[in-house]
Amino acid sequence: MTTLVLAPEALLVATGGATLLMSGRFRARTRARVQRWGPRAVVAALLAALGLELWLGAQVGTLFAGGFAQDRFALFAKAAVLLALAAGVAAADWDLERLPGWLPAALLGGFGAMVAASSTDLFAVWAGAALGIAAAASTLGAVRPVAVAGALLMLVALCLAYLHATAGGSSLDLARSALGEAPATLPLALPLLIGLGGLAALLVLAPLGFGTTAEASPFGRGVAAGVGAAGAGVALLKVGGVLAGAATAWAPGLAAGAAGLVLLGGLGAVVAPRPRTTISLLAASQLGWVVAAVATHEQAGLGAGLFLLGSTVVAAVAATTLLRDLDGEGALAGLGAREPGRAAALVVAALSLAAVPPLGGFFGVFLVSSSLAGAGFWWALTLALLGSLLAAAGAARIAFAAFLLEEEDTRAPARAPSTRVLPSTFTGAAAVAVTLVLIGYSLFANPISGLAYQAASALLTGH
Amino acid sequence: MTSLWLLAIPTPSATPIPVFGSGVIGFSFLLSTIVWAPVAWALVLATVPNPRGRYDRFFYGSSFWVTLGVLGLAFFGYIQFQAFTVGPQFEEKLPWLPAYGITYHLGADGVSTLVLLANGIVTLAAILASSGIRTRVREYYVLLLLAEAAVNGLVCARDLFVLTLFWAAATVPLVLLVTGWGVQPVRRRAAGLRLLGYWGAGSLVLLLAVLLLAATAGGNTFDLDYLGKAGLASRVQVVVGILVVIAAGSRLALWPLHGWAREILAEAPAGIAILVAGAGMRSGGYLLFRLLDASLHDGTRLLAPILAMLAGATAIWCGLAALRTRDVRILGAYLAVVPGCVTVLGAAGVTPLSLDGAAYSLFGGAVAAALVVGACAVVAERALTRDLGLLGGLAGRLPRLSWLLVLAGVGVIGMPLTGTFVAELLVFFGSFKISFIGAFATAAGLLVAGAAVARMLQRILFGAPNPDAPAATDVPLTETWALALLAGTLIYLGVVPGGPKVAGIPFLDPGAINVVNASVADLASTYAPPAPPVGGG
Repeated sequence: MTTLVLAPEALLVATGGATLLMSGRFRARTRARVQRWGPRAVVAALLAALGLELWLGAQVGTLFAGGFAQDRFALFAKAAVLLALAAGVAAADWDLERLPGWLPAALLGGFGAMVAASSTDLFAVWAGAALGIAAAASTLGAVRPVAVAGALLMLVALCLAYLHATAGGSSLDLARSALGEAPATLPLALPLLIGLGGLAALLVLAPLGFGTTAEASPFGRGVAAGVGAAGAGVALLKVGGVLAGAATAWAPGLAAGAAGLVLLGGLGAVVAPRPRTTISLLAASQLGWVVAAVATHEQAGLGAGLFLLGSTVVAAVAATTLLRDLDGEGALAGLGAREPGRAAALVVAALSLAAVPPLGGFFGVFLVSSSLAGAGFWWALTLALLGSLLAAAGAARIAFAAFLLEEEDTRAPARAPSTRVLPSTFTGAAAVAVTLVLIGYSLFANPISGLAYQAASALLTGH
Repeated sequence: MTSLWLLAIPTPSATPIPVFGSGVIGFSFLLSTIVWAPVAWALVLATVPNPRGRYDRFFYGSSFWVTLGVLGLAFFGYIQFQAFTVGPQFEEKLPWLPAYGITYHLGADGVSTLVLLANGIVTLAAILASSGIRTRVREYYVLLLLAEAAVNGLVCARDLFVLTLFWAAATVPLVLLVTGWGVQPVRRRAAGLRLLGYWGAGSLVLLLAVLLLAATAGGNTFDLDYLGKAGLASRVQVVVGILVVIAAGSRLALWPLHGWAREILAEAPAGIAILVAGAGMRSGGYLLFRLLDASLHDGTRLLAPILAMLAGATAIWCGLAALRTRDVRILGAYLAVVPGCVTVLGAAGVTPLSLDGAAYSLFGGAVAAALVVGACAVVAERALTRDLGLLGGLAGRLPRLSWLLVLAGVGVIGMPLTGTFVAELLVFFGSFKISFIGAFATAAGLLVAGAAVARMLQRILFGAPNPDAPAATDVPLTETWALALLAGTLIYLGVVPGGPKVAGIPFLDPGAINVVNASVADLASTYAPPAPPVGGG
């Protein structure tokens, strides 16, 4: 049973390996079958891994002599990553994407995020997150995002090394107990703030990367936005939970940064000229709330942050992938009439990213707000709420364009630059499924937030 | 005359007389059904295939019947209301996010019951007035039903998280309705964004108020029953109170938060304007009642003079703006703000009488505001012009619409035999001593608004038709029914505020004023002045 808990990870790696085989030379008929059934098999494998995770993951235990722990946090984070990956693969239009394309990288990135979620060692957390972020950044097919992510990861590694030296070891438990009663001195505050700030920057840069990268495929952008954010977010929550004892040293600074991120993201979403950029800024703005949740450094706040991270990651992957190549002013016009399922999923995801009630994003933001108020960060809360208001205006633009703007209302190209007019049954059904997942996240907010709350307890206490 | 109207307010007695028709059905999830039935039907409409608009009439018809059903349930709640029981009724309480102290807690007191009834009537009128919608019909009715559900939800909420959720959720469908179906395509997008700005900012401020209230009260709960009795320090109550006033003011279009009202109420089609004026704006008044008067007693006492002044300033400003404009729809938009000022003045009065009036004006004011914007929208649509200079002599050509416009005009300023008159009477009698300047200013605003109404009626209805004006077309039956429904309700509220009685027994209707009285008596006991010492000892 102990080793069976790692079955989801093994399934993920095996699926990733299998997708590499799709790049082989096949006859035309076989190639068509692979194109048709390959992504569906990947979705099935991811859902199977998710099912295994939810079934086996509840087994709380420590594996491999303390190297990996399967606690509530790991269960929640890994389930969120698998759900986001499944949503991304299902929502992508595989008639337009190449196979295997960025599938192996996406699955590898998901594996990295899962490793980070289970690790009990500072450097294993870093390594898992680095794998997730690097794999996700590579899907953009551009040098700059990889270089920026690499530089930030190096910065984080330096700060973790400082922490290792201060605590006398790299174990999370050791760091937790060593910093439990540490005075908030400048030499301690600075590296901790830089390390957490670096992770926060990686978290927010994940969705921003795809917004500025035109070369990537829609699926690649979705993976970069969601899986990259999941890797960075898991690491941030985990390290933040460990450092909660020394929070007076870094919490106000992180709260200020978070409020700035939410505000700037919301402001950008209002003025962004293209839907792609709007979606990326909405995701970045909501991830700012996750950073704010870490700044609260208490169980309710961290639990709310984890809940929100799950919602944001799924919505960001879905929105980015579903947007596909639609871009430019008015490109979304008439989408609601042409592809209602896709338009609905896109709009629901965008509204959730803007924390519009009653979607999952609103629940998460409310819970984080409540914790911020409890922690006394009223100024950060006010600024962040202002950012969310602006974000709502950005999301309203997407909703308006998709459902209420007629094609003749705009001079923009009427359709996406794709040759196909209607989606396949699979992508249509997948869009509806993604909508249901996003709505289900708010409908089942009770068990999900309860699980996240327990996960935060595991973060703070180590068991 | 005045004493006759005051006699309409019954004195609670220890032996309640059962209303004929009450106790017909027992229903455990009455409020949830009222809130979620429109959402469920909206989801059905959103997924029904509609090739080439074949089922557009089905969307209209089914939305009408669903809303009628919801109104029927609200009416059942109204006649089954136990007027002599303290506290909320039809309660539903389930743990929702227990780790965070959030419960799915719905409940209705007398005021909520009345507002639910008003929402049902106003939404029904909005749907009837929307029969002319021909573009994106499915989306229109889906959004209309979602807006109805959100407003009903915030009225039923007894948990502040649930209240905030529905309060903010009401913004989205209304913004999309204005943006998608505004009269002037060039301006509707800006109008929608403006509404989003004001109402979104109001939601943000309400969220801050709720968080501050919960954080200072402790107890890890958002339940209103607990927070209302938390006994917060006066300073905290004032801060929370200010935030609540700002949030409510953004909906009620109180000066200086009135910027959206003119554009939305004057540019939206009749159905949307009726919904915004009758249901959306009234939610601001309800919030004042529920959060300020019922939960923050010290804060209310301290903020009352400012609140009364705001009511007065808004009434005067709107009256003057209505008097000045040459556009019939803008005139209607400004007049629709006036009943909200009476509600605010009543909430600021903090006497049993003024609170009774404020609660009653939530119903009467909602109907009057919806009627006046609806009537002005229909006049502009049928006369093919909005210019008061071109309009004239419509009384002979459109007699039914003319009567409805007259009723709208007299209803909004509170003439006798209308529901607003009863509310104004109670509010002014209850608040004149406490907030003299605010009451005087509001009365002055009503006088100016009355002058604007007189000018409107004189210009539109009487005199010779303007030869330069386009030919007026007849009003469709559904639009007449929509306005007649509102006008009939307004008169009914004014004529029998205590409900009809057969042989001294209430018949079918327990009387709006009795239902309100039951809840207000409990609430107002906090504000009642201490009894004078007996015997001068």
